[in-house]
Amino acid sequence: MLTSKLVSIAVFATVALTACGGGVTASGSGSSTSPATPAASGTYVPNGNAATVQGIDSAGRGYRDDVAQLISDSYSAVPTVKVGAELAAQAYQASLSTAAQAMSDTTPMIEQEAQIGGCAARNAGLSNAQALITAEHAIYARTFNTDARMAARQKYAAKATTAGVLPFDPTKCASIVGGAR
Amino acid sequence: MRSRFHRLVATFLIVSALVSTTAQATFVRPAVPSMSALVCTTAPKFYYINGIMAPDAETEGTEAQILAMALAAEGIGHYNEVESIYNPSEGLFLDIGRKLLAQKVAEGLSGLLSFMENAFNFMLGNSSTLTAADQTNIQNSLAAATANAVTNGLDSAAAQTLKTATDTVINQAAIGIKVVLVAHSEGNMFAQALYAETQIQGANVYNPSGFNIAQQFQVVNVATPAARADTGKYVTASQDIVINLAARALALVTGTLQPATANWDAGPNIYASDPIGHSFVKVYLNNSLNGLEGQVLTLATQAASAAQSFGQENPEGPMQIVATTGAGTASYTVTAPDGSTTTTPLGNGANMTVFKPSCSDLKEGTYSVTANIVSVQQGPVFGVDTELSVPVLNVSGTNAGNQFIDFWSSPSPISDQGTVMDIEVSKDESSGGFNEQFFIYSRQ
Repeated sequence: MLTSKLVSIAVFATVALTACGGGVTASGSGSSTSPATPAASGTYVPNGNAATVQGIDSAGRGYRDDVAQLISDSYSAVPTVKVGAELAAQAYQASLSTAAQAMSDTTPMIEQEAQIGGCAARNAGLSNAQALITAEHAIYARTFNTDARMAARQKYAAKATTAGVLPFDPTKCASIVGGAR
Repeated sequence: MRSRFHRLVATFLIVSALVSTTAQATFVRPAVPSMSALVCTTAPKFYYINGIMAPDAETEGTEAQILAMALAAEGIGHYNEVESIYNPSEGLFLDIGRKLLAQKVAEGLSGLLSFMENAFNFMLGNSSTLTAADQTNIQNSLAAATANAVTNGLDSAAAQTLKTATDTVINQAAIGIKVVLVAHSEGNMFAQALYAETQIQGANVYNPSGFNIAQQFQVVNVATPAARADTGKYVTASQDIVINLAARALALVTGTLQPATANWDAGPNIYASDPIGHSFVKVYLNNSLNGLEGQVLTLATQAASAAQSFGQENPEGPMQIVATTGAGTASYTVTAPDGSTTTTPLGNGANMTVFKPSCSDLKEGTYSVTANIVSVQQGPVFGVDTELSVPVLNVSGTNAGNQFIDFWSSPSPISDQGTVMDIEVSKDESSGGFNEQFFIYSRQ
């Protein structure tokens, strides 16, 4: 059981990293936790980042530039909410990656999504629950904003053929929350 | 329905080898417990089941832990972690999104990206810049999807997930855990199907030993589109637009079927939190909406209390020990952890309870059972059979729930005595009950 969970985490990490590639060189903002003011490249707004399913992730965060801009604009005031938004962005974007799309059973990633969401909630605390959910939903709405992205997400979700109870292990949260960017 | 006790007697049987000897045999304690069970538990395992309007695993996990924190803040204990049961409705949610987008493409809308993002935000209970007409259109789509879940039942993806989830949840119950399902919106239809599986009496695919676990389950239905609550505990806000619209859609389709009547006035501020008045976290776990969150937690408290545990409600209690004797007499003595003893003599052919503590009697430590057995059968072959049985829960199917001692000798009558069973009892903090471990000795 432990082995399978470790494999799941490894798969998720691999997919998340694979998802980072956007084929565009870094814009120079660099910092993952303090996004810079939008560059004039057009990649920080949805219209400039809709040509492909995966879009452009110029800073290698694990999610698109326009999603990063949304977090910076609307969900960066409360640090723990921002972390939750970043984790959600990474998880959602990972589901669009080539590796995730090629998986025969996405259950490990679905389970990891639930684990990440749970950790984000624990990290934010009850007082920020409403804000966190609002942020996560907004990230979902931004990430899957084209028909092709919705179709890819549907394909990914439909392959979670062995999912049942989604486990939650609070001992994993420190490393997960620490991986937000 | 046979009791769990009788089922276990029938299910678990160790028969010691026939011993042909005039010398006294030795009873040997096993190195590991023959079986174990949680009894007298008070804290249930909570499972959360999301609805179609919060469809993805990320937010499902978030909502489950927000529920966990709300339970903790209210002092409602639970067994281990609150976990979610995957409701694979995201495909349906995305179907709605794609149809809305296709509609706008057909209309020639230029700002498709902005529309889609706003549409999803609206569907998920966030603020948006949609027109009133678009909002109405989306509300109707959501309500229709919810009504469809009621009238058509689970789709094939959900049916597959149901099997996996039911297996896990019933296994928890079978080791003695109480279970409370908290379901929101369309997730209630998933919960309803899962709950129905737990209520099947007798052996079935999820409960092959036929343990009597049905009473260990309770459901809290939040914003349910179903006509009735599974265990009588539900809350729906009067201002919940989705459920109200679903009611109309259902009435249109079925003529009579309606969701359970809204039973909580959350006040007009509900729409400041969620434009459709439906979100699990932003509405039903919102502590500023006329006590709506408090009502959800009150129902959770009631469900935790109503879910029965093994040992508290069943007539045999947590550790009834029953003995039978044939072709001989026996005397059993149970020594409790506090040193008190209970001795019960059995005549030939007797079948009686030799020890039966209640949950309030149960103490941490070791209960030790000793036997003194004498054969009475006339020679030249003298035989005796005795049996001790205990009511337990167990799912592995490899352990024993009773001890069967059968031996004979020739040419003279024989007797045997010694410790035949230990039951180690320890407090289980997470469940609020006791962990019982049974060490059933073998006769060698």
